[in-house]
Amino acid sequence: MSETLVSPDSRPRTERRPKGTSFAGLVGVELRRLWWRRLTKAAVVAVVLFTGAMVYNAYTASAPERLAQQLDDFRTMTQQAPQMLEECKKQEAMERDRSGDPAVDFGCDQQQTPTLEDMGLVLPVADVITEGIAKVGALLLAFVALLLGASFVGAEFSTGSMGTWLTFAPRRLQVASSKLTAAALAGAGIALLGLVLGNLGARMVAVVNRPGDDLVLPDPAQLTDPLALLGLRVVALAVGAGLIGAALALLLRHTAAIIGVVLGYAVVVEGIAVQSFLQGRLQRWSVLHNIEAFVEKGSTYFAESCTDARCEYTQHTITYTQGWVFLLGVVVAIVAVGLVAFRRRDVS
Amino acid sequence: MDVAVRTVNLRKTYLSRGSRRVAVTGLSMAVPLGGVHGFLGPNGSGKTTTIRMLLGLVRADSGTAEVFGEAVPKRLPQVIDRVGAIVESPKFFPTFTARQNLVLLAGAIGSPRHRVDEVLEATHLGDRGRDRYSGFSLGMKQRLAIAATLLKDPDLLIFDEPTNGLDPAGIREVRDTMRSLGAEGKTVLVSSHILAEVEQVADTVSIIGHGSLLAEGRVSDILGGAGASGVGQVRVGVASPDRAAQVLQAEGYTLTRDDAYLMVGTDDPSAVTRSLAGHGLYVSELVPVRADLESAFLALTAGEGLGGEADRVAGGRSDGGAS
Repeated sequence: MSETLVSPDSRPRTERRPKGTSFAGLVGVELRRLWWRRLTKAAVVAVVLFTGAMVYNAYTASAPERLAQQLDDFRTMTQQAPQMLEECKKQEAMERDRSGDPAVDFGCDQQQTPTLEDMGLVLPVADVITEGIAKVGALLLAFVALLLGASFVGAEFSTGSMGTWLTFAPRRLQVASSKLTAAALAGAGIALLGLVLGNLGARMVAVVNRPGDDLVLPDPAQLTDPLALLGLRVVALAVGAGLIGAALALLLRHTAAIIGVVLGYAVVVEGIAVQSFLQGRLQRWSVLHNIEAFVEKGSTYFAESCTDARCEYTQHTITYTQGWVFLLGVVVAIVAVGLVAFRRRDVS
Repeated sequence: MDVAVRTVNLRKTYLSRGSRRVAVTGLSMAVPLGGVHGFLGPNGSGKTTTIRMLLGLVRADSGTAEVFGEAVPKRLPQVIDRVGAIVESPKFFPTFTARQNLVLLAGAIGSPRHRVDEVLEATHLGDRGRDRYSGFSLGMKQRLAIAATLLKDPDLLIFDEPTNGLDPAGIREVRDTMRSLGAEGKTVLVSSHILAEVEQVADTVSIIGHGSLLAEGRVSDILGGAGASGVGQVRVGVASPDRAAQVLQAEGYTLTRDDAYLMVGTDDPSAVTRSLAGHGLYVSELVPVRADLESAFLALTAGEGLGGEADRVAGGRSDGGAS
């Protein structure tokens, strides 16, 4: 007996025909797919674990018992400071006598007793802990966002489902833009998750590790930059990383290739080339230095500068403005190339 | 004639690792509106490339293509909702369930969520909707691909080698499905290199070779007019084939030897038996040989065959891949 795969549908075609969808609708579909992916869940777990590890590190570092121990060490050191100064001057005098040079200077007068703040012995305050977590975690959150964006689009090419997708949504620029938008939102989500967990953890640490009356510590220095702005910069960095990951996938069409390119760039260019060539002056255009300049509102590096007589290392500064302009330029360039490539190239 | 698909001088060259391969060269064809249209050609003759160009997946070097009168790929968005296609093997996200894959595609075209369940039921996958696509058999993947095309309720369905890898029952299901859709008034464009498969379902065909059109028209017209054996040919088994051949040739029949048999061109098999019996030669076997698409195709391609690589290579080696 003959059997077809399709049962007849007697309803009017107007009821069966699709209504079409908007760009926002396409982004919604992409976000749904993103959420269903196993790698997204793995990324969320990774962010939770990493943030948890940083919070735990902050907890152990600011535990009252440890602070008390460090405070004892500090007091011992301050008590011994006059004796150390006296010993220094004695050694200095002996050397002057031995050498006959009255100009010998051991720098004893410059030996100052460190303060509690110098030793990091301050009250554990939530905002300061959060700032530390955000600065340390920014790069990792960005890497997770890049990986997520790259895999999100790369998987479509490796499974061949991009071709199927384009037979449903053939406007390539709109399709690519919806995927880039979803990857950017994923990056923002990953960063926000890390920041929120880090902040909650920091607040918990500040409460749990609040010293008793027997342990008197100074307040930490005021933050130079509002925490919210730092958080926004970390989110923006992850958004850019997500965009770059997705755009590279539009260009290279394979997640493994993207990871290879990114790691290769990190090792060969960032790790070797910028340090080795032009006496280190290429560091000004290093992505990592510019990320640091963007997130921490400035970055410094040392480059060798030589005169006829001698060479010496001098410190150079990368400003916050250069940081964000440079990073924005990189993101815009890679996204533009990805879009053009996706629009023009054949899809199998 | 109203046409669903028309191409004029369509051409596509692939560039790969320093070599150029002409996949489609000046293809002009027309697929009539309604019914099943076979798109035939050997492996590597340009069928899949042509279909990809119609769907905007591959950019043509030159020439034009229209779907329902709209130039593609420029105005493809205007007609894409009327076109359902399965290009080569079905391709979905392997770790998602069948239902998840369809929900995403439904979202892309604004089809309501309940439509997903309907097409799953319609393709007899209702109870497998929550299974992962990666665990599906080839036949089930094919069903899911058909379910996806039905999300649009298309007027034109394009099936590219739809029975590849299917078992006999699956082949029959797909064949009956195509026939049924064609009977509903939809246009079904089915590409295949298996001529017997197309012959059973197609009303009209386009035959291509070397990326260009060799013949086009109704199946019956192709069979009768392509220089094949025509409808009048019988295979004759007789005790003395040499003497029988002399007798029949003397009476004006055209014939060829096929081992111990004679292949005789005639519209009247009974006349053959009468002629031979009149000379004391009695027929032991008389089998009408029906003209088929395969022989028509072989005639059109001058016996090039069905399995050969028909690509033209210019400036380097053939890269294979697209067909």
